[in-house]
Amino acid sequence: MNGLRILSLLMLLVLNFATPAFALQKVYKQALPGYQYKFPQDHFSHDQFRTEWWYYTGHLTTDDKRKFGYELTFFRTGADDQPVNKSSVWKMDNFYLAHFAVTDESGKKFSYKEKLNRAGLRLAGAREDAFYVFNEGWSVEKIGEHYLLKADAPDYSIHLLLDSLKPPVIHGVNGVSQKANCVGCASHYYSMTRLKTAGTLFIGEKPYAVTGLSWMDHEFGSNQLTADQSGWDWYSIQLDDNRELMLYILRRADGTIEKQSSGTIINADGSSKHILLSDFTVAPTGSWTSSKTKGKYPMGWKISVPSAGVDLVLSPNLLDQELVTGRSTAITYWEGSVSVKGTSNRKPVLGQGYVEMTGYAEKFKQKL
Amino acid sequence: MLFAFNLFSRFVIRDVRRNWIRTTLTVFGIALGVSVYLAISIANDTAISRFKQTVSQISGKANIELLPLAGPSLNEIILFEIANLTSVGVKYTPMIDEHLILTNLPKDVGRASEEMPAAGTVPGEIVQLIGIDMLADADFKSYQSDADADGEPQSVLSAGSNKLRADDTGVDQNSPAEKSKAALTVFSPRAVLIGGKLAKRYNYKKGSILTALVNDQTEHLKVAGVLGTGGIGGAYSGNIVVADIGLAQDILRWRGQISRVDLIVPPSAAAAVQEKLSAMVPADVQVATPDTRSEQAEKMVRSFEYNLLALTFIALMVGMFLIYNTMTITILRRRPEIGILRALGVRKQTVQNLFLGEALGLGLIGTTLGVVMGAFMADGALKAVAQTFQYFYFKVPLEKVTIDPLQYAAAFAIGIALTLIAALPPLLEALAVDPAEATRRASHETKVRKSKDYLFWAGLLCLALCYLSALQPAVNNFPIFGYLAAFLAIMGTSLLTPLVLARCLPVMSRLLFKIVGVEGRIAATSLQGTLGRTAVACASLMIGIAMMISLAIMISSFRKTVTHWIDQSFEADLWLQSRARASGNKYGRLKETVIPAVNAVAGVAAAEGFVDRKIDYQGMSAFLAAADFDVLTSYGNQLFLSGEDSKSVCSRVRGMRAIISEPFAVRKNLKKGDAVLIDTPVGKKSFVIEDVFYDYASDLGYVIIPRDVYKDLYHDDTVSSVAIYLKDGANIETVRQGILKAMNKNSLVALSSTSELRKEAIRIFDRTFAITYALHTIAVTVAMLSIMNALFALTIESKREFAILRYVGAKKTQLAKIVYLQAAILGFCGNAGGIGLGFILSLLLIHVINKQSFGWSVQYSIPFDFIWQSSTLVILTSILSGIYPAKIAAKTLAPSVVRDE
Repeated sequence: MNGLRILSLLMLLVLNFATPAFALQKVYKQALPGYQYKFPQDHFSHDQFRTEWWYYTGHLTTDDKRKFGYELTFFRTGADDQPVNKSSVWKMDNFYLAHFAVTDESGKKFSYKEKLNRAGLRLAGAREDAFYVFNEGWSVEKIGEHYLLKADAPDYSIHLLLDSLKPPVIHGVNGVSQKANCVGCASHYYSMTRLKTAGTLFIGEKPYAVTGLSWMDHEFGSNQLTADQSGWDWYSIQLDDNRELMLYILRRADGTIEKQSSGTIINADGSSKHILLSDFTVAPTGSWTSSKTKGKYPMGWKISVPSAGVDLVLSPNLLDQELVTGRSTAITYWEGSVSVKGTSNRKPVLGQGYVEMTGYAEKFKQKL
Repeated sequence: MLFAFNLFSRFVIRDVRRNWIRTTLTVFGIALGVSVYLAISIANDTAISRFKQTVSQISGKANIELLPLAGPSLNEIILFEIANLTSVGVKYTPMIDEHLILTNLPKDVGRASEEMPAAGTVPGEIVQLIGIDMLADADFKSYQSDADADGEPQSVLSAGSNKLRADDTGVDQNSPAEKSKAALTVFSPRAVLIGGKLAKRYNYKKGSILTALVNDQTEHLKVAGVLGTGGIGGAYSGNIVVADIGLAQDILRWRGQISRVDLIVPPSAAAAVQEKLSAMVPADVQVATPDTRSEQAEKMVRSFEYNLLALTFIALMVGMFLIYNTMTITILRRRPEIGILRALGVRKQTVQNLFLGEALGLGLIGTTLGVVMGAFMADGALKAVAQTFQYFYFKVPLEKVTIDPLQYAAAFAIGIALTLIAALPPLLEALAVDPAEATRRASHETKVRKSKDYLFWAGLLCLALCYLSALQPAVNNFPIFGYLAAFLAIMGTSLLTPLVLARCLPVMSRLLFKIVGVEGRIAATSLQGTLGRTAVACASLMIGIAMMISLAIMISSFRKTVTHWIDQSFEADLWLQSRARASGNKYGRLKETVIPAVNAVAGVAAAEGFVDRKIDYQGMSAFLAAADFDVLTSYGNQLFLSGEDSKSVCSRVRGMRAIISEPFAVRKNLKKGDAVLIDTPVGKKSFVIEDVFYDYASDLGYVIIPRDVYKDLYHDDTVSSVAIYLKDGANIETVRQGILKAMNKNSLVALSSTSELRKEAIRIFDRTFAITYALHTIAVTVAMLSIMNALFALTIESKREFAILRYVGAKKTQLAKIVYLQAAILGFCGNAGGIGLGFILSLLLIHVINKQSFGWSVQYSIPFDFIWQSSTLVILTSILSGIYPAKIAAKTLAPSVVRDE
């Protein structure tokens, strides 16, 4: 679910400035109700939809108990414009973007890198016939029943093997996760909410064995956001009682909240329940202002889902987990590792999560 | 200290001021030598430093490059092969870096008037097309502007809007959305970014449409933004068009081809990666560093640069002689005074310092003036060589000189050092003055007279060594021994001068007595009496004239040779090429289908397709060309070194056989029958050399192979030009119209007649030699300076003799006549010697230095007209420079001078 805004921004730009001369635009498929998921095929790329992303976040611990959070995201967005001949390897029918961030919770350090490429000659790609998505040296692929993640940056690199402990969870209703009231203003969205993780984290050149838990989001659609939506908050929470919670809140420019904002609660046995905006509350407990971008973000949250017996307090593991992605998506957002404490099913519970907040550092619509 | 200063000001400064004309001439002579040297070195250095700058601006942080060996481009498929290197931290990006002709240019707002394009050419401007992956890692090419100098370098996409100048004002250019908006327009169809300089010159703005000439087609491009001067934007001085790699391929019709691959390899892995790459790349790809290209460029222009520099050394040498001359004469004249000073107890050291001070003073003023003049002349020198660099070697903008303080320091040091060296022999002479001996008049002359035989033998030895040097081969294509021979020739002839004069002057004395009477005899005898001064004056005059004569001979020989070559080998009647090539893009091509189309035109007997490409041959640039030897056998007329008929040589060039141009043969030490090994896309191929042909089109050298073989090896079926031979009696205009009609309507071609082409070739020749003409003019000036200098010195020093002559009854007019006669004798002797030395130098220039540097055989041709005219000019100038001395001589008051005696 997260990342949507980022992609939409880029997509709008591409549409606005690159295509007026072209009558022949590619017609993309819309995300419509009734979509039948099929795995592993739905892990693959869906090039008939305009935008798509594979989003991994997770929490890692080394043998000596150092704690790290990571985010590795691959985006694909279709572009209509063809400045060059369509048969050229340099054609730009898809942009491939990727973000990689590591939060050193013990060392209080946040570091990120980004990539932007076209398919080119093995520069980047997402296969439609296999689960293999890569951007230069960063990649995610399915090997047997395992998922292999690789990413490297000057400060940190990861080589991780992920095993899903639960089947994929499909969000929304009838195969679509609605983002606004219009037809097709939606996406197909599923998650793998509990991925057992083991592998190596490199700090600089030095390898550390790590274990932990990851979360995967995969979403594809063509026309999710409407122009009056100004920002986005997304929460993914993994509780120690084997339950998970995903919530998203779409904020409108007029200060109201999009009625289609919703979430999913996943039980220990893998069963899940769609929850509506009226079923939950999120209240910020503080705020943080970025010295880099002057963006003012809520920081610390109280989340309650009464119907599921969930009352949680989320606290950031590091204040500055802001990504200024000038090079690829040209958008600033906060995506960070959080600690979770509270009650689930009336019992005390601990947990961990990731929170994404967009639209605080710049008011996209006004500038446009 | 005070005493020393007092003495200096009285003894030296007063004397220098009294002889101000000679002082001025000396200073100006040094200044000219230094300035010419400085101007040429700055021009040369600018060319290379601009090339290096361009390399670094475009390559960014890349430390390894993959370069094509077999032509202008390599297959992009290599990127696929190296993709896995990212796992060891390697970053890479493809590059296109090629010429592009812009045409339909709006009025140039920067320049007042553009030089009229020559016949057969099409107006257009060559700019550089840079194709990059606009999405590539920012580490490759930063577009950093001054504003965000502290920030990380950014890629085009993200940083674009910072650097793209805002023309829609009122928009916050720094908002991320605006950044992306501006940046993303570069991906709209046919959208390019252009350099600031280009934008300014033609007033291009965002949205302007450029027309590019590619081969025989035009291509419209839309300006998406104007780049600032940071990073790539500053490359080629901003005369650039930057496009995304895919678009650049489209524009150039370079499907699947790129100019090179830039790699950033972590230093720790560099050696291993380089080794791995070398094993991995195909045969026609070279693993290199960005320095490799600069080194190649340096090698390519080295001969040209050193040749120019060597010519400036002749100017410096004349300056040295002027100093030597002035100092020698001063010291000779002042021997009695030195004797008196020494007798009065002034120490040797002080005398030495006095004269050293004088020499140093002259050197300092002359050198300083020279450095200032050189700085002003540098722009002119650069202008004179810029087109040669750009036409023959590499196209980097050379509109402004690069200021390197080291150059100035070097010129200054050379000026001072040469002054001191030149002043050393006279200085030693001054120190050797014995107080008692010095009071005797002309004691020194006895010495010269005594040693002239030794000098003569030393001179002969120099000339013998000169001869031996001239026979030595080049060292690394650099004619070091040729330059040594030239130096020895100058030394040798100078040393011969005293004895030759001693033998000739008595003869002249008798001869002049018969013709003009007693004044003639006195003039010659008096010169004979002061043989030392006469010899020095004569030698410096000789060198100046020799420089002038040798350059004149070289230029005239060259021009005659080239003209003859053009007349002989441009056998075709019409020449067809693409508009782009006619506008100066050497890679402008035509499809080979034009050949049958031309052949079908009535009146055409045959059409021969020719194609050439720059290749890398053993680390140096050269041209590989392909021709249709069937047509050449019947119609062509190449001149071969073996003297064999063109038809019979061409008839044998089939299959893996080639002919090579003379410069290629000389530089690579190859001859008929040898094999030449060429890197092709399918590996190294060996061609047997069938013969060596004369060629003056490029000093880089040509290898010409049959076009059918070329097509197989390079998969290139285009042609650069088509030589068209007409049937007997066909009307050239009718055929020309016929061919133009037969061309595809959309095909933009240029069709020139052979006479137009010849004119163009001669124009290029003259342009190439422009700098030599300029040096030639300077040589004439220096020669005239040395005449004047020598004469002033001589006559003024002869005052005493004039006084005696007056005393014994000579009339004023007789004295004037003597001076004029002396001037004429000196002019004549200097000129005769100069012509002799000039011939020697010209032989060295043509047969040793140029031959070894460029590999060109030049037919020796003497410009008699010029020698005749210059001789007259020299003797006239000599006589005219006698005017002032003659006046002084006439004014000489006998009693005041003779009283001393």
